[in-house]
Amino acid sequence: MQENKIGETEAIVLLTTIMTGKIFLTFPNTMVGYGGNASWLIILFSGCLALILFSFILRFLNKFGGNSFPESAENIAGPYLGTMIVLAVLLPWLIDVAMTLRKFSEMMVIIALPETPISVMVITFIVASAIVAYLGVNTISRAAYLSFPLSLGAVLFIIILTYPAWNLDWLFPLLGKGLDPILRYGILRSSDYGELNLLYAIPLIFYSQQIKRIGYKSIVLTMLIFLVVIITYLLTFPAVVGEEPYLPLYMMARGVYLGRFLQRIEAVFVLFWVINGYLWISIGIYGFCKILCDLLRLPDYRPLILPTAILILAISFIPASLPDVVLFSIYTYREYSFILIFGIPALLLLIAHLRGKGVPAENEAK
Amino acid sequence: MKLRKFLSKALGYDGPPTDRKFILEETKEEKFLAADGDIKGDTVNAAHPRCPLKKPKKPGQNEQTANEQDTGELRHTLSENILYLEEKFHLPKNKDVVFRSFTISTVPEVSAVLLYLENMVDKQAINHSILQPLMLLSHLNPNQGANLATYQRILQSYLPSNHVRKLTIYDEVITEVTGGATVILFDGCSYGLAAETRGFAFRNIEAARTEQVVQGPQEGFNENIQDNTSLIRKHLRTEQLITEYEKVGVRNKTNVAIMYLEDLANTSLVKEVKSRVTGINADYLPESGTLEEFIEDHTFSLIPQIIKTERPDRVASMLIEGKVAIVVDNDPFVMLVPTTLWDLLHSPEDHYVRFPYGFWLRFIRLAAALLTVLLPALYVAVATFHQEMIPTDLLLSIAAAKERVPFPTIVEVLLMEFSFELIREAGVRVPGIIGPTVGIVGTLILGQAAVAASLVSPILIIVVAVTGLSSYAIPSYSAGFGLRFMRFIFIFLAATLGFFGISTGLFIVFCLLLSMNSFGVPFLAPVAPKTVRSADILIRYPVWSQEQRPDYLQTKDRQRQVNKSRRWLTKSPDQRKDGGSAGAGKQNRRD
Amino acid sequence: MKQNKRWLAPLALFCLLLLFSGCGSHYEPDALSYVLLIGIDEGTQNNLRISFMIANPKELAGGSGAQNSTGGGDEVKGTASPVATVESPSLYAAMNMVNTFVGRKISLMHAKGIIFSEKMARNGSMAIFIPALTQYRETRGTAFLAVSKDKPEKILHEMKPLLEANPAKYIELLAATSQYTGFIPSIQLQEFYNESKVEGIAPVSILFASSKNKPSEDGKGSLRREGAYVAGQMAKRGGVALEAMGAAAFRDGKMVGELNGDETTLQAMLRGKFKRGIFSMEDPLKPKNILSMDVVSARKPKIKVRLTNQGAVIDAKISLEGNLLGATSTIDYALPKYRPILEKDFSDMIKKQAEDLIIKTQQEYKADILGFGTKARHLVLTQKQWQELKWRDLYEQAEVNIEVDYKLRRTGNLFRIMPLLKPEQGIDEGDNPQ
Repeated sequence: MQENKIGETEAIVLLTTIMTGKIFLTFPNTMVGYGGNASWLIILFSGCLALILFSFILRFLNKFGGNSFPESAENIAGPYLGTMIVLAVLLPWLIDVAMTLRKFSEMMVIIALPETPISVMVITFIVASAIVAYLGVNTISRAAYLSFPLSLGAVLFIIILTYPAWNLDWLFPLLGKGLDPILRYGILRSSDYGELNLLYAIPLIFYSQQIKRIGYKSIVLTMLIFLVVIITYLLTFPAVVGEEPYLPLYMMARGVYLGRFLQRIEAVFVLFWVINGYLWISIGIYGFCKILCDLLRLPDYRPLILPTAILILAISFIPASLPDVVLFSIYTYREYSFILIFGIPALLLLIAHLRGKGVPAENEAK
Repeated sequence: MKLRKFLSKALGYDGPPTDRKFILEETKEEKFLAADGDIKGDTVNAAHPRCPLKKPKKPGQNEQTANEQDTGELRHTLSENILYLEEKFHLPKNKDVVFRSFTISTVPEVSAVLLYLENMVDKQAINHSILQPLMLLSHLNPNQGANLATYQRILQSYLPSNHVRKLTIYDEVITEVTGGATVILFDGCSYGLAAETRGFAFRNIEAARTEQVVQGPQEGFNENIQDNTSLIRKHLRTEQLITEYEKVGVRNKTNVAIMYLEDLANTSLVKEVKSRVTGINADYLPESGTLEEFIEDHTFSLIPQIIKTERPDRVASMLIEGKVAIVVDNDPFVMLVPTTLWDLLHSPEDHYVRFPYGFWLRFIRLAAALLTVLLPALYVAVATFHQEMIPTDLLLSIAAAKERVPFPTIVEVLLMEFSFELIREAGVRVPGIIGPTVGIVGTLILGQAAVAASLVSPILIIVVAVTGLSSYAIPSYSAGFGLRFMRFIFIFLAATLGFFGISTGLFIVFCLLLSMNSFGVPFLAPVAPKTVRSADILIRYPVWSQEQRPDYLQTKDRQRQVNKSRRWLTKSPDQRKDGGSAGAGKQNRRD
Repeated sequence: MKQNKRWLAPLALFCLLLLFSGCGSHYEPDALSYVLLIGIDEGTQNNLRISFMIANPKELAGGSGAQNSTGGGDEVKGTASPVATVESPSLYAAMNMVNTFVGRKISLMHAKGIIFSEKMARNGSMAIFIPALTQYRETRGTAFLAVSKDKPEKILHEMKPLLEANPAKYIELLAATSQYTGFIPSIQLQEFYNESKVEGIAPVSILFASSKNKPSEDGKGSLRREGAYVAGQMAKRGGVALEAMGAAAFRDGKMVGELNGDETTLQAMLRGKFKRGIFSMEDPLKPKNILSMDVVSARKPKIKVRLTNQGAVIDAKISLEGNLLGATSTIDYALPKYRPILEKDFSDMIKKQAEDLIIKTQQEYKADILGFGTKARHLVLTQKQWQELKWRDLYEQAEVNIEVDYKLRRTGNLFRIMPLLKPEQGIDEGDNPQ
C-alpha cells in the first residue's frame, strides 16, 4: 500500500519518539529503583542487548518482509498457530496502550490539573489520538518528525537548567546496588525497546538495508537519550531520593530556579510532553487496528478505530489507582514483554526453518 | 429518527473513501535510486543528470479545447445571421448592442454589419481601423464580388487591427462581442471577423495594496487579465512561459489564464490544474476567491492551500520555482499552486533585503504567527491554571488588576478579542475617510475606557494588542484570517484544560495540517515529509546557496543555479578561459 | 462530503469537553490567596501552630503598600502582607482552617520560604515534616528553609520589608544574599530533603531571629569579626527587626547546634558553595589596623578521602582569591615583599577557622555537615559496601588536613599608598617609610 511508505528518517524518529516516551513517565525512577547509582549501566547493558535481539527482527523481516505480519505468521505457522501468534502480539499491545494512556493522563493530573477528574483527561487523550490514528501512519510519523526536535529540546532544556543542582558525588558508589541487579534488569529491561515490534507488526515498506539502519539507529538514539536523562537525574537527586517520585522529569523541572523570574516552569513542558503521549497512543491505536485489519483481511483499518478506542478507554479504567497502574505496567509488563517482542520473530523463524519454508520466491525478486 | 440517521452517518462506515487522490509522484530516477537501496537517508541527492527537455508544444495545439459541442454555425446570408443574433441579444430590449450596417466599397457593393457592445469598445478604434479602411480606403477589385477570397483579403490586408479572428459559429460571435471585440459579418459569407477593439474602463497599474514591501518592485496587478499576464511576462521574458486560456463558468464564461514555465513545471501538475479549472460546472466565477474554493483540496481547513498574491514579482519568482499560476479575469489576485505552509509565511521582501535582515524577518514572522494563535490562550491558561509559573510580582499585579473586574478571565479575553475583531472588521468596511478614526477610537478609547470601567484588566489589553499586531505581520491575508480564527479555538481549549488543552489543540491542528495536500504536494513539505533540504523554508539562506528548486514540486529541472554560482570565487579569470562555460555545465552534474 | 460528516463525531465530543470548562483545577488569579511564607511551630491547643503570610495583591501591586502598612502587629486587615495564624493538626488542614476566615482559597504555590521554630528543629519533628512538604504539588522545592530562634509567628509579623513592597521579593533577595555574604547557607527545601536522606552529608538550614540587641550608647567597642555573630546578636537599629545570620546544623533530623556567620562561610567553602564574601582581619604587619578583603572562590575545593589503617584521612584544599578593599595601615600590599605575608596570614586564619569548625562538627555535633562523606562515596563500589563502611563513625575519628591557597589578585583602586601627612612624627609628603 502506498499509504504506508514513510521516510527512513521519519521511521527512526517515530521509533525513537515512542521508545523514549517512557522518560516522561516512571522510567527514570524505576531504573534508579533497580540499580541505584548504577542504573545507567543497566541502560547501557539493555541497549546493547536490544541491539543483539534486534537481529531476530531483522532476519525475520529480511525473509518475510513482503507480506503483512498476520499473513506471514499464518503462512509459516499455519492458520491456527499463526492466529495465536498474532494474538500474542495484539493483546499485550492493547493492554500496553491502555496502560500508557492511563499513565499519561495521570501524569497530567499530577503535573498540571490536580483537580480535574481523570476521566476527562483519558477521554481527551483518546479522542485526540483516535482522530490522528484515523489520519494514518504517514501523518503520525510526520508529526513525530516535527515534534521530535521540540520535545528533545524541551527535555535537554530542563536538564541543562537543573545544572546548578548537579552533584557529581551522587553518581557514587559507582556500581550502586551491585552487579547482580545490573545484569538481571539489564536483560529484563530490554523490554524498553519493545516498540520495535512496530517494524514487523505494521506493514511499513522499507528496503532491507533501510530496516537495518532504522533499527540500529533508533536503538542507539534511544539509548543515548535514556543515558543522558538517567545520568542527569542521578546528578540532580541522590539515588535514594530518585526512587521516590512518580514523574522524575517533572521533579527535575520543578527544581529549576533561574532567579526570581523563572521558576516552576514545569507547566511549559506540558506542551511538549503531551504531544509525545499523543504520538504514542495514536500509533498504538493505529497499530492495533492495522494488525487486526490485516488479520481479519479487511480492506480498511479505519472503521476499527472507534471500537478500539472505546475498548482501550475501558481497559484503562480497570486499575483502581495510579500506584496499581505503575506496579502493573512497570513491574510486570515491562519486565517480561521482551520475551514476546523479540521472541515472536525468533519463534517464527524457527518454525519456518523446521518446516523448511524458505524465502518466498516473489520476495526474493524484490 | 433524524438523530439516528445522523449518528449512523457520523459514526458509521460506508466503505473505504472513494475520493480521487492526486499525488505528485516522484520522478522515475528517484524511484529507481530508492529501489536500488543506494540512497542517503530517505532523500535522493539532486546529483542526477538533468531531465532531457521535452520540446515545447506548438502554441496552436491548445486552442481547440473549448468549443466542441456547438453546432450553431454562421449562416450564409447576412439577414439570417442578424436575425439570429438579434434574438440572442434580446435586441429590442437590450440597448447596449449595436448593429451598424454599412456597405463595403466593392462592386457590387457588399453589405456588412458591425456588431459590438456600446460601452465595451473603443470607438476611435472602430472608426479608424475598421470602418475607415473598409468603407473608404479599400481598393478591392471591383469585380470580385462577395466571395471567399475577398474576405480573406480583407482579413489579410484591410483591417489594421492588431488582433483579428475568424469566427464560424454563433457562440464564438457572442463570446467575442461580450468580451469587447467588434464582429464584422458580411453578406454571403458563412464566417465573420472579430477585431480587437476592447475599450472598457479599468484601473491603472498601481502599487500593490495588500502586500507592501519597502524595498523592491512596487507594482501590483489590476483587474484586467491582459495587463496581468503582461506584467508576469514582463518579469519572465522567456519563450518557455506558457499562457493557456480557459473559459470557466456555464452561464458566464470567465477568462482564466493558466501560466507556467514549460521547461520547469511538472507536466502532471499542469494537467491536474487544467483538469480542475476546466472541470468546474458552475454558473459564474466573479473572481479568484470563488475559483479557489472550487479547486482547493480542503475546503474546511482554516489554513488556505492556495496562495494568492497581487505582486507580479512574487508570481514570477514562484513560476520559476516550478509552480503554476492561475490568473482570473476581473481580479487583481493571482493564485499559485501548489502551496505549502511556509509559502504563507514568506514575503517577497525576505529576498529583497540582504541575507541577515531577511533571516531576521522570517523569525519575526514565525513568532508573529505563533503569537497570533497562542498568546491569548497562553494568557488564559497561565492565569487560571498555572499560576505557579508566573513570577510572584506579576501574579500579584494581575490579581490586583482583576480585583474590581467582575468577569472571569475567559470572559474578559473573549470580550476584548471580540471587540478587536469588530474594530478590524469595521475598519475595513467603513468609508475610507473615517477608517483611521475607527482605528483610533477602537484601540485607544475602547481599551482605555474598558480598563477604567473595570471591565477588563490592563494586562489583557497588552495581550490583545500584541496578538492583534502579530496577526497583521502575517503576509498572507487569508492565512492571517485562519490563524485569528484558530486563536478562539485555542482560547476555549486553554480555558477548559489549560496547557493540556493547548497542546491537544496544537497536536490535532498540526496533524491535520500534516495530512493535508495542496495539488498533490504535502502541505508541510519539505519539512515533513522530509525531502531534500531546502534553503528557503524558515531560514532564508543566502541567495547564492539556494541552488535547487524545491524538491517537492518535482520540477523538470531541479537545479536553480550551479553549485558555485559565483564563478569568480572558484577560478581566477585566466583559468576560467580554458574551463569555459562548458566546464560550468559539467560541474553542475558532478556536484 | 460523506467523509466530512464523520468528523462531526469527534467534534461533538470536543464540544462536550468544552462544557467541562471549570470542572476542576481552574481558579481565577484573584480567587486565590497566595501564601508567601509559612511559619510552623508546635501548637499549644493543637498539634501545630501554622502561620501564613498572605500577599495582599491590592496593596502590593498598588505601590502604596509601604505607606499603608504602618499598622500594628496583629492587624490583619489592610496591610500589604497580613499574617494568619491557626492551630491545626497538620499544615494542609491549616490551609482549610484559615479559609474559615479568609475568603480566597489558600495556595502554597508562591510560598518562598518555610520557617520552623527552633524547638521543632531540636526535637526532630521538623525533619519528619519535610517529606510531607515535598510530597505536596503546590509547594516549591526551591523554597528556602529556615529555623527561627523566636516563634515563627513573630518572625512573620516582624517581616515588614524596608524597601520592597512585596515580601516575596524581600524573602528571595534575602535568601540570595548567601551569594555574596556567605553568612547564611543557600539551602532549598529539596536540597535539605535530599541531604537528610543520604548518608555522608548532614543538612543545615538558615538561622533566623528577631533583633534584640540594640547598639548601646556607652562603653568601649572591641574588635569582633563580622562573622562572629549568630542571628539575634547583632547590634543594630532600623530596618527590619529581623536577622538572618548563621546556620542550624542537623544530625539525624535533629538540630544539634548553631553555626555563626564565619562558620557558615567556612561550611560553604568546604561544600563548594561559597561564591564571595567580605572578610575583615587585623593587619598582619600593623596590628590594630583593620584590612577588608573581598574574597572570591577561585575554584571548587579539592577534597580527597583516603582510608588508612587508622581510619579516614581527609585532605581538603580551598582555593581563594581576593581583592583588597581598604586598609587603615598604609602598607603597600601590592608590593611583592608584603603580599605573601598578607596571603599567608589570611590563609592561616581560614585554615584555623576551618579546623576549629571541623573539630566542632566531629566532636560536638557528630554530624558531617561539610559533606566530606559525599567524597568518601567514591571509595566504595556498591551501596552495600557504603552501608558497611559506616561513614558516620569514620568521620568522627577522621584526620582532616586543610590547605588554604589564597592569592591577592588586586588591591582595589590603588597600587601604592602614600602615608598621611604627619610632619610632627617625621612623615612628610611622599615619605613612604617602606
